[in-house]
Amino acid sequence: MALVGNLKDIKLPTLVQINCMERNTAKLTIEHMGRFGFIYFHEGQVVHAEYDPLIGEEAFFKLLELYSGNFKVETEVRAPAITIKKNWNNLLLEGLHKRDSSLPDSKFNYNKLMDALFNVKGLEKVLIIDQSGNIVGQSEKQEVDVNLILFHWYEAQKISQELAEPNPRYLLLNKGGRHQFLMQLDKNLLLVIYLVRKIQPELVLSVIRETLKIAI
Amino acid sequence: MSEKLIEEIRQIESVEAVAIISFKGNVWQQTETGIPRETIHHIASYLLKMAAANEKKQQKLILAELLWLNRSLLARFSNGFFILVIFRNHEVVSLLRITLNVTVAGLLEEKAFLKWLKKEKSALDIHLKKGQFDEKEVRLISKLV
Repeated sequence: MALVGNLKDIKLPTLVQINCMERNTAKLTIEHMGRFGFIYFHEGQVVHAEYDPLIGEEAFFKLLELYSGNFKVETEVRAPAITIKKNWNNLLLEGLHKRDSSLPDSKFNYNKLMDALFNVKGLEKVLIIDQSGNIVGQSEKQEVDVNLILFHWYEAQKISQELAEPNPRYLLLNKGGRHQFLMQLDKNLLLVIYLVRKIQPELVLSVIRETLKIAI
Repeated sequence: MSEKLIEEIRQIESVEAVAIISFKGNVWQQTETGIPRETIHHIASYLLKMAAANEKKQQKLILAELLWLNRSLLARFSNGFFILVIFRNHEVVSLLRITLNVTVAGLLEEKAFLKWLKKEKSALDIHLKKGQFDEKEVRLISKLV
Protein backbone atom coordinates (compact mmCIF):
# COMPACT_ATOMS: atom_id res chain seq x y z
CA MET A 1 0.00 0.00 0.00
CA ALA A 2 1.30 3.46 -0.93
CA LEU A 3 2.03 6.08 1.70
CA VAL A 4 0.41 9.38 0.78
CA GLY A 5 0.49 12.79 2.38
CA ASN A 6 1.52 16.41 2.01
CA LEU A 7 4.94 17.95 2.45
CA LYS A 8 3.38 20.45 4.85
CA ASP A 9 3.00 17.55 7.28
CA ILE A 10 6.11 15.50 6.55
CA LYS A 11 9.05 17.38 5.13
CA LEU A 12 10.91 16.01 2.16
CA PRO A 13 14.25 15.56 4.00
CA THR A 14 12.38 13.47 6.58
CA LEU A 15 10.80 11.34 3.87
CA VAL A 16 14.18 10.77 2.26
CA GLN A 17 15.73 9.85 5.60
CA ILE A 18 12.96 7.36 6.40
CA ASN A 19 13.28 5.59 3.06
CA CYS A 20 17.06 5.46 3.25
CA MET A 21 17.30 4.33 6.85
CA GLU A 22 14.75 1.60 6.23
CA ARG A 23 16.74 0.52 3.18
CA ASN A 24 13.70 0.82 0.96
CA THR A 25 13.42 0.31 -2.74
CA ALA A 26 10.70 2.76 -3.64
CA LYS A 27 9.45 5.56 -5.81
CA LEU A 28 8.53 8.88 -4.22
CA THR A 29 6.24 11.02 -6.34
CA ILE A 30 5.69 14.69 -5.50
CA GLU A 31 3.01 16.81 -7.10
CA HIS A 32 3.43 20.54 -6.67
CA MET A 33 1.14 22.95 -8.50
CA GLY A 34 0.50 20.46 -11.27
CA ARG A 35 4.20 19.71 -11.71
CA PHE A 36 5.54 16.25 -10.88
CA GLY A 37 8.83 15.22 -9.37
CA PHE A 38 10.19 11.75 -8.65
CA ILE A 39 12.83 10.37 -6.33
CA TYR A 40 13.81 6.71 -6.58
CA PHE A 41 15.39 4.71 -3.78
CA HIS A 42 17.23 1.45 -4.22
CA GLU A 43 18.03 -0.52 -1.10
CA GLY A 44 18.25 2.64 0.97
CA GLN A 45 20.15 4.82 -1.48
CA VAL A 46 18.82 7.68 -3.59
CA VAL A 47 19.63 6.55 -7.12
CA HIS A 48 17.55 8.71 -9.41
CA ALA A 49 15.49 11.93 -9.39
CA GLU A 50 13.46 13.82 -11.95
CA TYR A 51 11.87 17.23 -11.76
CA ASP A 52 11.11 18.43 -15.21
CA PRO A 53 13.37 19.47 -16.94
CA LEU A 54 16.01 18.45 -14.39
CA ILE A 55 17.40 14.96 -13.82
CA GLY A 56 19.71 13.49 -11.20
CA GLU A 57 21.24 15.53 -8.39
CA GLU A 58 19.97 18.84 -9.78
CA ALA A 59 16.41 17.55 -9.73
CA PHE A 60 16.86 16.21 -6.20
CA PHE A 61 18.22 19.57 -4.97
CA LYS A 62 15.38 21.47 -6.61
CA LEU A 63 12.81 19.16 -5.02
CA LEU A 64 14.29 19.91 -1.60
CA GLU A 65 13.13 23.51 -2.03
CA LEU A 66 9.48 22.45 -1.93
CA TYR A 67 7.57 23.04 1.26
CA SER A 68 4.21 21.82 0.12
CA GLY A 69 2.74 19.41 -2.37
CA ASN A 70 1.14 15.99 -2.31
CA PHE A 71 3.42 13.01 -2.16
CA LYS A 72 3.10 9.29 -2.62
CA VAL A 73 5.61 6.58 -1.74
CA GLU A 74 5.26 3.30 -3.62
CA THR A 75 7.47 0.51 -2.42
CA GLU A 76 9.23 -2.04 -4.59
CA VAL A 77 9.29 0.26 -7.63
CA ARG A 78 12.65 0.30 -9.33
CA ALA A 79 14.37 3.33 -10.86
CA PRO A 80 14.27 3.62 -14.66
CA ALA A 81 17.90 4.83 -14.60
CA ILE A 82 20.77 5.41 -12.18
CA THR A 83 21.66 9.11 -12.25
CA ILE A 84 22.79 9.61 -8.64
CA LYS A 85 25.71 7.76 -7.12
CA LYS A 86 26.41 9.80 -4.01
CA ASN A 87 25.74 8.35 -0.59
CA TRP A 88 22.26 9.50 0.49
CA ASN A 89 23.57 11.17 3.62
CA ASN A 90 26.07 13.35 1.73
CA LEU A 91 23.52 14.05 -0.97
CA LEU A 92 20.93 15.25 1.53
CA LEU A 93 23.43 17.39 3.42
CA GLU A 94 24.69 18.95 0.21
CA GLY A 95 21.13 19.60 -0.92
CA LEU A 96 20.12 21.27 2.33
CA HIS A 97 23.29 23.35 2.32
CA LYS A 98 22.66 24.45 -1.28
CA ARG A 99 19.07 25.30 -0.45
CA ASP A 100 20.02 27.47 2.51
CA SER A 101 23.03 29.17 0.96
CA SER A 102 21.19 30.16 -2.20
CA LEU A 103 19.52 32.92 -0.25
CA PRO A 104 19.83 36.60 -1.12
CA ASP A 105 21.20 37.33 2.34
CA SER A 106 22.85 34.49 4.20
CA LYS A 107 22.03 36.13 7.52
CA PHE A 108 18.42 35.96 6.70
CA ASN A 109 17.46 32.39 6.24
CA TYR A 110 13.90 32.55 5.06
CA ASN A 111 13.78 28.90 4.12
CA LYS A 112 14.59 28.05 7.69
CA LEU A 113 11.93 30.47 8.83
CA MET A 114 9.27 28.98 6.59
CA ASP A 115 10.30 25.55 7.76
CA ALA A 116 9.88 26.60 11.36
CA LEU A 117 6.61 28.37 10.72
CA PHE A 118 5.14 25.30 9.10
CA ASN A 119 5.58 23.48 12.38
CA VAL A 120 3.00 25.87 13.78
CA LYS A 121 -0.38 24.25 13.26
CA GLY A 122 -2.92 26.40 11.52
CA LEU A 123 -0.83 28.27 8.96
CA GLU A 124 -2.22 28.14 5.45
CA LYS A 125 0.54 29.83 3.51
CA VAL A 126 3.60 31.89 4.17
CA LEU A 127 5.33 34.30 1.88
CA ILE A 128 8.03 36.91 2.00
CA ILE A 129 7.84 39.91 -0.28
CA ASP A 130 10.13 42.86 -0.79
CA GLN A 131 9.07 46.49 -0.86
CA SER A 132 8.77 46.41 -4.64
CA GLY A 133 6.28 43.57 -4.43
CA ASN A 134 8.61 40.80 -5.59
CA ILE A 135 7.97 37.48 -3.93
CA VAL A 136 11.24 36.44 -2.33
CA GLY A 137 9.95 33.22 -0.79
CA GLN A 138 6.68 31.40 -0.89
CA SER A 139 5.41 28.25 0.74
CA GLU A 140 3.35 27.38 -2.31
CA LYS A 141 2.62 29.03 -5.58
CA GLN A 142 -0.83 30.45 -5.06
CA GLU A 143 -2.08 33.68 -6.42
CA VAL A 144 -1.51 36.45 -3.90
CA ASP A 145 -2.43 40.09 -4.21
CA VAL A 146 0.91 41.63 -3.41
CA ASN A 147 -0.27 45.19 -4.03
CA LEU A 148 -3.07 44.85 -1.50
CA ILE A 149 -0.57 43.55 1.06
CA LEU A 150 1.83 46.42 0.37
CA PHE A 151 -1.02 48.91 0.57
CA HIS A 152 -2.09 47.56 3.96
CA TRP A 153 1.42 47.77 5.30
CA TYR A 154 1.93 51.26 3.94
CA GLU A 155 -1.27 52.51 5.61
CA ALA A 156 -0.16 50.82 8.85
CA GLN A 157 3.10 52.76 8.62
CA LYS A 158 1.17 55.98 8.15
CA ILE A 159 -0.91 55.24 11.24
CA SER A 160 2.36 54.71 13.11
CA GLN A 161 3.58 58.11 12.02
CA GLU A 162 0.38 59.73 13.27
CA LEU A 163 0.96 58.24 16.69
CA ALA A 164 4.69 59.01 16.62
CA GLU A 165 5.41 55.31 16.87
CA PRO A 166 8.04 53.32 14.96
CA ASN A 167 6.87 50.79 12.40
CA PRO A 168 4.40 48.32 13.89
CA ARG A 169 5.57 44.95 15.14
CA TYR A 170 2.71 43.42 13.22
CA LEU A 171 -0.58 44.03 11.54
CA LEU A 172 -3.26 41.39 11.92
CA LEU A 173 -6.30 41.52 9.69
CA ASN A 174 -9.49 39.53 9.97
CA LYS A 175 -11.17 39.38 6.61
CA GLY A 176 -14.47 37.60 6.84
CA GLY A 177 -13.06 35.12 9.34
CA ARG A 178 -9.78 34.59 7.50
CA HIS A 179 -6.74 36.03 9.20
CA GLN A 180 -3.73 37.61 7.61
CA PHE A 181 -0.61 38.48 9.56
CA LEU A 182 1.91 41.02 8.28
CA MET A 183 5.26 41.72 9.81
CA GLN A 184 8.37 43.55 8.67
CA LEU A 185 11.46 41.34 8.86
CA ASP A 186 13.97 43.98 7.87
CA LYS A 187 14.01 47.26 5.96
CA ASN A 188 13.08 45.59 2.73
CA LEU A 189 11.24 42.38 3.55
CA LEU A 190 7.72 41.75 4.69
CA LEU A 191 6.51 38.44 6.07
CA VAL A 192 2.93 37.54 5.21
CA ILE A 193 1.12 34.64 6.83
CA TYR A 194 -2.36 33.42 6.01
CA LEU A 195 -3.85 31.64 8.98
CA VAL A 196 -6.31 28.79 8.72
CA ARG A 197 -7.61 29.63 12.14
CA LYS A 198 -6.95 32.25 14.76
CA ILE A 199 -3.50 31.84 16.22
CA GLN A 200 -2.03 34.04 18.89
CA PRO A 201 0.36 36.37 17.01
CA GLU A 202 2.77 36.03 19.94
CA LEU A 203 3.26 32.38 18.96
CA VAL A 204 4.29 33.39 15.45
CA LEU A 205 6.54 36.12 16.84
CA SER A 206 8.28 33.67 19.14
CA VAL A 207 8.92 31.25 16.24
CA ILE A 208 10.44 34.10 14.23
CA ARG A 209 12.53 35.24 17.18
CA GLU A 210 13.84 31.72 17.79
CA THR A 211 14.55 30.96 14.14
CA LEU A 212 16.17 34.17 13.05
CA LYS A 213 17.68 35.01 16.42
CA ILE A 214 16.41 38.54 16.14
CA ALA A 215 14.73 40.76 18.66
CA ILE A 216 11.20 41.60 17.59
CA MET B 1 -26.90 54.17 25.56
CA SER B 2 -23.91 54.48 23.23
CA GLU B 3 -22.22 56.67 25.85
CA LYS B 4 -22.48 53.75 28.24
CA LEU B 5 -21.09 51.34 25.66
CA ILE B 6 -18.17 53.59 24.85
CA GLU B 7 -17.53 54.16 28.55
CA GLU B 8 -17.33 50.39 29.09
CA ILE B 9 -14.54 50.21 26.55
CA ARG B 10 -12.77 53.26 27.97
CA GLN B 11 -12.76 51.72 31.43
CA ILE B 12 -10.76 48.73 30.26
CA GLU B 13 -7.21 48.99 31.54
CA SER B 14 -4.84 51.18 29.54
CA VAL B 15 -7.38 52.30 26.91
CA GLU B 16 -6.28 55.68 25.58
CA ALA B 17 -8.91 56.50 23.00
CA VAL B 18 -12.21 55.17 21.69
CA ALA B 19 -14.08 56.48 18.68
CA ILE B 20 -17.08 55.36 16.66
CA ILE B 21 -16.65 56.42 13.07
CA SER B 22 -18.88 56.13 10.01
CA PHE B 23 -17.70 54.96 6.62
CA LYS B 24 -17.98 58.60 5.58
CA GLY B 25 -15.25 59.30 8.11
CA ASN B 26 -17.38 61.25 10.58
CA VAL B 27 -17.28 60.59 14.29
CA TRP B 28 -20.43 59.53 16.17
CA GLN B 29 -18.75 59.56 19.52
CA GLN B 30 -15.25 59.85 20.81
CA THR B 31 -13.73 59.84 24.25
CA GLU B 32 -11.73 62.84 25.34
CA THR B 33 -8.14 61.69 25.41
CA GLY B 34 -4.57 62.85 25.11
CA ILE B 35 -4.66 61.91 21.44
CA PRO B 36 -5.75 64.92 19.37
CA ARG B 37 -9.02 64.61 17.45
CA GLU B 38 -7.19 65.45 14.25
CA THR B 39 -4.87 62.47 14.79
CA ILE B 40 -7.86 60.18 15.32
CA HIS B 41 -9.39 61.59 12.15
CA HIS B 42 -6.22 60.86 10.15
CA ILE B 43 -5.93 57.35 11.57
CA ALA B 44 -9.56 56.72 10.67
CA SER B 45 -8.91 57.81 7.10
CA TYR B 46 -6.05 55.29 6.75
CA LEU B 47 -8.19 52.51 8.19
CA LEU B 48 -11.02 53.40 5.83
CA LYS B 49 -8.61 53.24 2.91
CA MET B 50 -7.60 49.76 4.07
CA ALA B 51 -11.23 48.66 4.31
CA ALA B 52 -11.97 50.18 0.90
CA ALA B 53 -9.01 48.39 -0.69
CA ASN B 54 -10.32 45.11 0.69
CA GLU B 55 -13.80 45.79 -0.57
CA LYS B 56 -12.36 46.44 -4.00
CA LYS B 57 -11.07 42.88 -3.83
CA GLN B 58 -14.41 41.54 -2.60
CA GLN B 59 -12.95 41.01 0.84
CA LYS B 60 -14.67 42.28 3.95
CA LEU B 61 -12.44 43.69 6.62
CA ILE B 62 -13.80 42.83 10.06
CA LEU B 63 -10.90 43.57 12.35
CA ALA B 64 -7.54 45.26 12.08
CA GLU B 65 -5.04 44.94 14.89
CA LEU B 66 -1.79 46.85 15.06
CA LEU B 67 0.87 46.34 17.65
CA TRP B 68 3.77 48.59 18.52
CA LEU B 69 6.20 48.15 21.36
CA ASN B 70 4.08 49.95 23.96
CA ARG B 71 0.87 50.63 22.17
CA SER B 72 -1.84 48.80 20.23
CA LEU B 73 -4.75 49.65 18.01
CA LEU B 74 -7.93 47.73 17.29
CA ALA B 75 -10.44 48.65 14.62
CA ARG B 76 -13.66 46.63 14.58
CA PHE B 77 -15.61 47.09 11.38
CA SER B 78 -19.33 46.59 10.89
CA ASN B 79 -21.81 47.68 8.25
CA GLY B 80 -21.30 51.38 7.65
CA PHE B 81 -19.08 52.12 10.66
CA PHE B 82 -16.16 51.01 12.77
CA ILE B 83 -14.97 51.34 16.33
CA LEU B 84 -11.41 52.45 16.89
CA VAL B 85 -9.60 51.74 20.14
CA ILE B 86 -6.04 52.74 21.01
CA PHE B 87 -4.58 51.21 24.15
CA ARG B 88 -1.29 50.64 25.93
CA ASN B 89 -1.40 47.19 27.48
CA HIS B 90 -1.67 44.48 24.83
CA GLU B 91 -2.71 41.91 27.41
CA VAL B 92 -6.25 43.29 27.32
CA VAL B 93 -6.62 42.68 23.58
CA SER B 94 -8.81 39.58 23.95
CA LEU B 95 -11.13 41.36 26.37
CA LEU B 96 -11.30 44.31 24.01
CA ARG B 97 -12.17 42.13 21.02
CA ILE B 98 -15.08 40.60 22.94
CA THR B 99 -16.21 43.99 24.26
CA LEU B 100 -16.13 45.44 20.76
CA ASN B 101 -18.36 42.65 19.47
CA VAL B 102 -20.84 43.42 22.24
CA THR B 103 -20.59 47.15 21.50
CA VAL B 104 -21.29 46.62 17.80
CA ALA B 105 -24.40 44.57 18.66
CA GLY B 106 -25.49 47.24 21.18
CA LEU B 107 -25.04 50.08 18.72
CA LEU B 108 -27.07 48.30 16.08
CA GLU B 109 -29.99 48.33 18.51
CA GLU B 110 -29.79 52.01 19.26
CA LYS B 111 -32.29 54.06 17.28
CA ALA B 112 -30.41 57.36 17.43
CA PHE B 113 -27.25 55.68 16.21
CA LEU B 114 -29.05 53.90 13.38
CA LYS B 115 -30.65 57.17 12.32
CA TRP B 116 -27.24 58.81 12.21
CA LEU B 117 -25.76 55.84 10.41
CA LYS B 118 -28.45 56.06 7.75
CA LYS B 119 -27.48 59.67 7.11
CA GLU B 120 -23.83 58.69 7.01
CA LYS B 121 -24.36 55.96 4.45
CA SER B 122 -21.44 55.96 2.08
CA ALA B 123 -19.66 53.60 -0.26
CA LEU B 124 -16.19 52.70 0.96
CA ASP B 125 -14.57 53.11 -2.42
CA ILE B 126 -14.83 56.89 -2.07
CA HIS B 127 -11.79 56.67 0.20
CA LEU B 128 -9.72 55.39 -2.69
CA LYS B 129 -10.96 58.17 -4.97
CA LYS B 130 -11.18 61.30 -2.86
CA GLY B 131 -8.95 62.67 -0.15
CA GLN B 132 -5.25 63.15 0.26
CA PHE B 133 -2.91 60.60 -1.25
CA ASP B 134 0.81 60.57 -1.52
CA GLU B 135 2.65 59.21 -4.54
CA LYS B 136 3.08 55.73 -3.14
CA GLU B 137 -0.58 55.43 -2.22
CA VAL B 138 -1.60 56.58 -5.71
CA ARG B 139 0.72 54.01 -7.27
CA LEU B 140 -0.50 51.15 -5.05
CA ILE B 141 -4.18 52.08 -5.44
CA SER B 142 -3.80 52.17 -9.21
CA LYS B 143 -2.58 48.57 -9.06
CA LEU B 144 -5.56 47.37 -7.03
CA VAL B 145 -7.52 46.35 -10.07
